Formats: sequence, structure tokens, C-alpha cells
Amino acid sequence: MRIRLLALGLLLAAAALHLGVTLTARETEASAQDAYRRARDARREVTQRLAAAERRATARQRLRAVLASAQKGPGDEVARLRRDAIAAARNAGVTAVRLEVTRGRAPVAAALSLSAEGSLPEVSALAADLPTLRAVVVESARFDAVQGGLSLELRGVRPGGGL
Amino acid sequence: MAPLPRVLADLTGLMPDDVRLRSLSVAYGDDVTLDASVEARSPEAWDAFLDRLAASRQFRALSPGPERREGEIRATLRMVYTGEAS
Repeated sequence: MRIRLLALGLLLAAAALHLGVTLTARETEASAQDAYRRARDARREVTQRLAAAERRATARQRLRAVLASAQKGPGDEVARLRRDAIAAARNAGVTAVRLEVTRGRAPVAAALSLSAEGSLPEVSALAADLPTLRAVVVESARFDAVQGGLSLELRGVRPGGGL
Repeated sequence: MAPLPRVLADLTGLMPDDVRLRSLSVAYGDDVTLDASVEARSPEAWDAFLDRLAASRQFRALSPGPERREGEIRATLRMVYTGEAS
């Protein structure tokens, strides 16, 4: 009878040990594995978000570079010189205006060929306006006496495009 | 760089009343080179213009071109503009 009681006691002690230690350890391990899995998933998500953010930042940077290049590019300088030449001719009051603006090669951003007619003051005003106010470096000019005044043929360039 | 209006004014400022500028080409390089086509009513006026140019410090390297004398004188003239004050 005592032996049976002892065996029962040992059995109960083993059961208690199993429940108290082994199962708790398993639960702890499972919990740790879950925590590890969650951390790994979180890290993966953060990495993916970071990569996407970097891609967006790179794309924005490229877009800014393209826009800046378009604003400062030779094509834009051609349009700007054309507008400036027209404004100078309008301010001077000359007539029979003909102009051609072409893209230049570095260090020239754009080249201007312009002809116009007017009185001496008008033609002089145009000839003065282009280099002083419109940043046109005059290469050559020709004045001809015409009925009622002068004609002017002017060739000039605007520096830029690689300077 | 010599402004075009100043070049034009300096050149026409030396012209006697009987001399008229028919055309003027200005080329900007190492020098400012002018090619002028001029009409003078008399040989005296033409000569006076040449004398004034020669005496002026604003122009150098005068090189008169062909002249046509048929009552009035029509001539061409090449020179270098210095821009110096007289």
C-alpha cells in the first residue's frame, strides 16, 4: 500500500513538473517565436516602405533636374532672346522688323539676326537697347540710308550654354 | 565694346554738311572695323571729311576705297574705330 502511495506521489510530482516547467517553457518559446516573427515582418515592411520612399525621392530629384534643365536650356534661351528682340524693337519704335533667332553652340546660347527701319533716333535706340539691356553681344551691324530714315541689319549673340 | 550709336555719332559728327553717310557696316572683332559708303556734294567736302578723320584719334587705319566722281562724289572708306576721345 505504501509503495502504491509513493508511486502515486511520484506520478503527481512528475505531472506537476511537466505542467509547471515543460509546458511553461513551450509557451515561452512559442511566444518568443511569435515576437520574432512579428519583428521580422515589421522589419520587412519598414524596409519596403523605405525603398519606396527612396524611389519617390529619386524620381522627384530627376524631375527637378529635368525641369531646371528645361528652364535654363538652349531652347529656352532662344525663346527668351526672341522675346527680348521683339520688345527692344517695339520700345524703339522701328518698323519693317525681321528677325531670326537660332540656337547657338557653347559658349553662345542663342544667335540673333535682326533688321529694321526707322528714323536715326529710333534705329539708334534699338542698336543701344540690345547690347545694354538685352545682353546681346553685337558681332556686326549695317546701317543704310533709306527713304525716311535708316535701315539696320544687326547680328549678335547671347552668351551662355555652358558658361 | 563701342556702342553702335556712339560709333555712328562719332563718325557723322566729323562729316561736313555736304557729306552724307549712305551706309555703314560695323564689324566687332579684335578691332571695331567700319566700312562706310559716303556721298559728298563736292571734292572739297570729301577731302575735308578725310582730313577730319585723319586728324581724329577716334579713327585710325583709314583706307579710302574707289571713288566715283559724277558731279557728286560717291566713295567707300574703311577704318578702325578706336573710341578714344578727340
